Amino acid sequence: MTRASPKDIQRAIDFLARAKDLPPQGAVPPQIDYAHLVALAAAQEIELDAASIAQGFRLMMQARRVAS
Amino acid sequence: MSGATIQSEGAALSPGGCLALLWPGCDPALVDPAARQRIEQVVAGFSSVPRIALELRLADGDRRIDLHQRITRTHGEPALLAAHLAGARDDPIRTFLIDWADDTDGLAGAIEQVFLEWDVTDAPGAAVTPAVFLPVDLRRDPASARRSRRAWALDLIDRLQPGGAGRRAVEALCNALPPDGSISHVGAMSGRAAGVRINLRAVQRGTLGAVLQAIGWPGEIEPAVTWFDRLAAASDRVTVTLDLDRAILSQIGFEVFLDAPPQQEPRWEPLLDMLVGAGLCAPDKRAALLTVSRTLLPEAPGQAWPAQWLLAAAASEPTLLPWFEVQLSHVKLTLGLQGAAEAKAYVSAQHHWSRKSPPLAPAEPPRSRREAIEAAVGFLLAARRQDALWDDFRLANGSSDEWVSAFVGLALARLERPALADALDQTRRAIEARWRPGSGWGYNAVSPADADSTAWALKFLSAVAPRSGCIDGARAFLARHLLADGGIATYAPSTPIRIGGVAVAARGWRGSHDCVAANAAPLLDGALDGYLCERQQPEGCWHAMWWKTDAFATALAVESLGADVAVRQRAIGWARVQELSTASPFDRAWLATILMRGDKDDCARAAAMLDLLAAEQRDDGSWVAGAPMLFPAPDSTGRDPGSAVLLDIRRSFTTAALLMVMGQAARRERGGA
Repeated sequence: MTRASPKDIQRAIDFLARAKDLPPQGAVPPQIDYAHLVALAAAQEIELDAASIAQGFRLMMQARRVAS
Repeated sequence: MSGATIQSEGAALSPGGCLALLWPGCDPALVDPAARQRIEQVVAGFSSVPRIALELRLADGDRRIDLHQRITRTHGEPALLAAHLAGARDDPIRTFLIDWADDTDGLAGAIEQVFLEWDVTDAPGAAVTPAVFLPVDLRRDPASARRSRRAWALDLIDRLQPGGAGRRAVEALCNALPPDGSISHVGAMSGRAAGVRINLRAVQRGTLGAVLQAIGWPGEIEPAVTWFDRLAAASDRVTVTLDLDRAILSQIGFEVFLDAPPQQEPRWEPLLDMLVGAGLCAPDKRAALLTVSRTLLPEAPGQAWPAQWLLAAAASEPTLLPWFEVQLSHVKLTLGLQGAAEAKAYVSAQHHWSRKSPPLAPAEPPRSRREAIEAAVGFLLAARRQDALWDDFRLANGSSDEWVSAFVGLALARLERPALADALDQTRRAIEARWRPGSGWGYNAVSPADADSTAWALKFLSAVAPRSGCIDGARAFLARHLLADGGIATYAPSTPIRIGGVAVAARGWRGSHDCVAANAAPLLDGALDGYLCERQQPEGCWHAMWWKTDAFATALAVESLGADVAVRQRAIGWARVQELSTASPFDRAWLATILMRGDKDDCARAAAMLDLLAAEQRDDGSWVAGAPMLFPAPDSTGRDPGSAVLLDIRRSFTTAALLMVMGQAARRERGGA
């Protein structure tokens, strides 16, 4: 995966923060990969690559751990 | 491909994610690329519960691998299992699992988890129906509860294997089992020669031969007993597995557990060496097993959290945090016909959700002191290992069993109960077997002998076997720790100390330690009394080297110097002003024992403190772990306030301490000590 820019990472965090509301009704196949996530974002008209999603997710989990 | 709803803890999580995170840290000696592909195909057909284990043959060149999945009643797993099975071929096991998931006939309340086991063959999809393992006796079941649970388990066997002969054989085994025999699990083994497997827990070392004779096991008893005793001495626990068809078969298995990963548990290496030495484990597999255990956090760099898990975590409540764990769970030795032996290892890979745990609730209704003593005895007996020792506190060199067992054994011995004599005699023999002749006892078998562990072992042996052949030699060893300043060191100048395989000077550990002096003083004919008196702090306490707080060391010093009124009064004055609201049960118990030596008001206060502690006891008879051991730097000459606090995570030390104090209070109230 390539290095993600801060702007892309923030977009990824915003995208992941709405994961619960993803269509269709949050149904996803169990074997999805990062390409599926990129496609899910694209369907929301959010342009993201796999590296940005991975990095955004790490920061999101880090923030939860600090808050717990 | 079925859809899965994203929600918090009930999220469907692909078990394939376990493999994606397992493979990078798993040496090909354990699972080669071809096997990985086959396993991925089989796991793709599992229900969406991310908790699997690999069953690996350890012999050189044996590449066979079987798979397990554990389904619990938590995280919405039964519903996920039921959804997965909805379209599967109908058979008794499927019907049972759906009934369990739907809680038909109250199955859910009785079975908190099921283990599914697949024999993975070279033809993917060939092994459709798993074997099913279910819990039977609960660890602390009274005999009446065991009877009803076993009757219910027999009915389940009928249900899982209609028309099979297993029920009658299991019934005969249950009837022949000694009263203290405990069946942890029963397995319905579909598609195998043996229809049913029974797992026996807590068989004590030295008693397997009698158990096998009682149940009419047809195999060769001596080699089985020899292996069992060796394995029980080298591990935290061993489960005995027996296979039954129309009768008990001659195959027997020993599942051998150590509760910490190899990075924290030095006994894994000698345990695996035992299997290598017997020609049952290839050296490259041994090396790979020692490095396979790991914990991964989703925010850690250098790994790709599975995409489907990522989405579920992002959608979960913000209080939830996922993590992943690979564990070397246990090894198994199976003895078959004509002494043929096989070894396997079980490596689990599982996703966890963590959140702040609620505080542990005390027993309801609150217990009296008398009831608390009974419950504590029950807890400690149940916590004892099969080699009759206890272990607790975990350091880099493993848990302590010699020091901890001497302390726990002494707490039980001081109750002077005939009913405990057999158990204490077993512990006495185990402690004597650990004595290093001409020396003493240590933290555990891989640590050098030290003065504090030796003092506790001497106190225990003096209570249960005053004529023990170890006592004179161990007393002489203890005396060799006396120092020119009048105090006593934990480690003698000549004791070799190694950390991580490297010899260290450990000047601090060889200095005078007041907590050790307080403990050892009664055993050294007054040699430490003058030193101890001098070391009492102006406020009345003694400072401990190995403990974060001073209540324990002060209570021991007062016990040793009890006849000195001025010393005692200063200690009581110190105990009176200690803040109780933030003190652990462990510290409050030792403060109470100091106050018991005071005036009428002090005694009343001590009694009230002990009543409150009894009411705080947990349902299982333990108290919340609170013995705050320190691990100071080896060259640190005084207590190091910055060193990490290590609690007795098994709660054995705290519980034994409270038992010791409550027992002492009961004897005082009866007019004894």
